[in-house]
Amino acid sequence: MKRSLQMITNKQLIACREQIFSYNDNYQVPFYGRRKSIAEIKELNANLKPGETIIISQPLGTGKSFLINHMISTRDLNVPVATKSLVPKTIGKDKDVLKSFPGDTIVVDEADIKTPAKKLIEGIKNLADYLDDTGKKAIVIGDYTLHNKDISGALKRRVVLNNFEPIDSDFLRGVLRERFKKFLLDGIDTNFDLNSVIEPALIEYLTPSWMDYANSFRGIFSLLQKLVADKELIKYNSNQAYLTVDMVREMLNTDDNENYDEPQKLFLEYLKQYIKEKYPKGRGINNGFSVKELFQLQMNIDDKTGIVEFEEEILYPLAVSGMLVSTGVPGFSKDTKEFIRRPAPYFPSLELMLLADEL
Amino acid sequence: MSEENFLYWKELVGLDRTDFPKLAKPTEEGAHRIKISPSRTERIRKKIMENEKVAVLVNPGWGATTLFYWIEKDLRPRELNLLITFNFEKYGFDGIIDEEDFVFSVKWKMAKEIIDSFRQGSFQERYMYEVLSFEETGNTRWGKYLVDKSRDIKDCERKRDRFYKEWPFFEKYSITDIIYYFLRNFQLQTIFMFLFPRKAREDDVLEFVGNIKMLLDEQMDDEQKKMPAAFREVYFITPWMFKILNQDYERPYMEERFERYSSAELFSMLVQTYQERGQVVTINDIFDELFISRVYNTKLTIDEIMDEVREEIVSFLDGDFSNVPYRLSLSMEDEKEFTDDHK
Repeated sequence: MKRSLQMITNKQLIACREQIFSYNDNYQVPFYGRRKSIAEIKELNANLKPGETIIISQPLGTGKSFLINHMISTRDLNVPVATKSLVPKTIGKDKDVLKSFPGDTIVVDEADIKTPAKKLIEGIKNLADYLDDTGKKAIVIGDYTLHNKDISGALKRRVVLNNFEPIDSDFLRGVLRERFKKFLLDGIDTNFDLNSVIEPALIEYLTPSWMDYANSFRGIFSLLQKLVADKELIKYNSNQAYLTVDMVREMLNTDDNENYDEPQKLFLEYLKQYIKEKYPKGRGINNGFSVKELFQLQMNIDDKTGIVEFEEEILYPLAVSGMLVSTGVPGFSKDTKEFIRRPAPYFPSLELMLLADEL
Repeated sequence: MSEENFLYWKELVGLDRTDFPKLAKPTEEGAHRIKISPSRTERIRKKIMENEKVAVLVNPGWGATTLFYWIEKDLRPRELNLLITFNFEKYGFDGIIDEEDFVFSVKWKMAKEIIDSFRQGSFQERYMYEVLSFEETGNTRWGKYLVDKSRDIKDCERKRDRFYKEWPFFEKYSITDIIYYFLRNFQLQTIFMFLFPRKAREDDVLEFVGNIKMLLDEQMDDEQKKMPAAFREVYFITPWMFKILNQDYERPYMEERFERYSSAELFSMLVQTYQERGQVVTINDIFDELFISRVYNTKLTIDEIMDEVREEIVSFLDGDFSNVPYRLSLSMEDEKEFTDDHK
C-alpha cells in the first residue's frame, strides 16, 4: 500500500531549525557523502611516512572538520575516538600540548585566517619541529592559508588531499534529507520528499555549479536558518512548511544596507547590475572576479578612487561582510606580521546572486 | 551676537551651568536616568530568553552604551541570573585576548556576582559552602564569612594567583562546569554581556571569539549540551563589527536590530536629561520639539544631531537680545518665516 508523503509543518521547522540547518558542532548531525575524500584520506593515511603531514586545505565552513571528526569516530583514522583536535594557537603557545595528543597521528584544526598570522606560524613551526623530532605524523586542516609558504612553509613533508567533493545540489539534498529524517521524521526512512519543504529552484540557487569550490555549508545553512527565524515570513502554525526563492529574496530585501557606506552601496548596486547583464544566474563566472575587473566597474562609478583605496575601502569590507566570497590565498605581511585576509579572486555570495537576479 | 543670545537664554531658563542641548552621557550608575521605551527593551529581553547567542545591533553613535547599561540594570535581579559583563568600548580588549587572562577575568566576575547573590538570595547552604570553601568549625559564622569573602573578592581583582588560592572552587572547575553547577544547584542562568567597541582590530575580534568558543562551546560535555538554559551570550555591537565577529566562526547568533531613536524619543531624552535640575519648569515648557525634528537625520549620530540642534537654536536667536523669548518655540508662523528665509 502506498504511504502518504510526510508533511513538515512550519511549527516543526521552526522548532528544529537550529538542528536541521546546523553549521557548527552544537548538534550531532548525521554525516553524509564525501566518499571520495574518505577513500583518499584513508589511502594517504595508510601510506603516510613518519614526519609527513596530510594537508586539507579548503574554504571555511565546507565541512573539513566534520569530515575528520567523522572519520575519527568511525575509526577510519588511527586516532582514538572522541579525541579533540589541537589548534595552532595552543601549539604555538605551549608545544608540550603535542605530547599529550594520543597516538601517532596528530590532528590540527583551524590553521586558517581566524588565527592571527604570527600565532599560526609559531604553531605550525612547533608542530613541524615535533614531527621531525618524534617521527609522528599529522593531519592539518585549514583554509587556503595553508597554500601560503610564508605561513605554513615549516611543514615541508606534506601530502595534499585532492578530492573534496564540491557542494552541488545532489550533495545538499542528501545532507538535508538525512537531517530531516533524523530530527523530524524519527529516523524513519519514510517516503519524505524534500521538494515538499524546499522549492527545487531554491536548492538550485543555493548550489550553483560555478560556485562549486567557493560555496560553503555555512553560507547555505546560515541563510536558511535566518529565513526560518524570520517571523514575518514563517509563522508559527500548522501549515505546511515551504521555503522558496521569493521568500529568501524578500528577507534579503528587508535586510537594510546600513552596514555599508555610500561608496560601498553604489558599488554593490552597480555590481548587481553587472552580474545580471553579463553573468545571468552566475553563468560564466568560472574563475571569479579579479581586482582589476572589479576596479573597472568602480571606474564607471567614480574615476577618482585609486585602486588601493578601492581594495581597502570597498572590496575588503564587502568580503568581510560576506557579499563577496574570497577564494584567493591569504597573504602575509612580513612588515606587520599580520594576515592579508580575503584576497581576490572573488565570487558573488549567494545573497548577492539572488539579489542580482531579481533586478 | 546669536551665541551671546543663546547664553543669555540659558541664563534666563536656568540652564547656564549645563551643556544644553547635549544629552546625558551614559554612565553605569546613571543608566536608568534616561528611560528607553519598554517595548524596545522587551524585544531584547525576549530574544535573550529565547536564544543562546544574541547580537543586539546598534548603529554607531546611536546609544549602544546607554542601552548596554540599561539592559544590565534590567537583568540584574540576582535570584534569577548571574550577569557577567564586559565593556570593551570602555576598557578595550586588553587583558582578555590572552586565554588565561580571559579565564581569570570571567571566573573573578563570576565569583564576585555569586557572592552578591548569596548575600541577597536564599540558596542551599551546602552548595554555597562548597563554592566559597566554607567549613563549619564553630569559630566562624557563615554570615561573617560571607562579608569577609565579599571584601576579599574585590582585593583579588587583578591578583590571579591569590584569587585561585583563596577561591579554590574557581581554580578547580572550568567555566562551563561552574556555569552548570550554578544552574543545577542555584537555578541561576549565567548571562554574558559584551559591549563591543565601534572599531577594533580584526585580529583582536577573531582572537576574542576564538577564546569564547574554546571556553564555552568546546568545554561542554554532552550532558551539558542538553541544558541550553544554562547560559546566554549577548553582544551589543555595531552592524559592521558584527559582520567581522560573525564571518569566520561557526557560531549562530540571533540578531536583534535596535532601530534608531525617533525624533520624539530624542526629545524625550532631552527632557529627561535636564529634568533633575531642580527647576520648576521642564524642558518641555521652554523648548520646542520642532528644533529636533527639523534637523533629525538618521545618517548623523545622536551627538551630531544635538550639535545641529544647538546651531538651530543659535540661528533662531539671531537678532537683538531684547527679543530673546523665554520659551523657544517654532510656532506655525516661525516655521513659515524660517522656511521663507531658506527658500
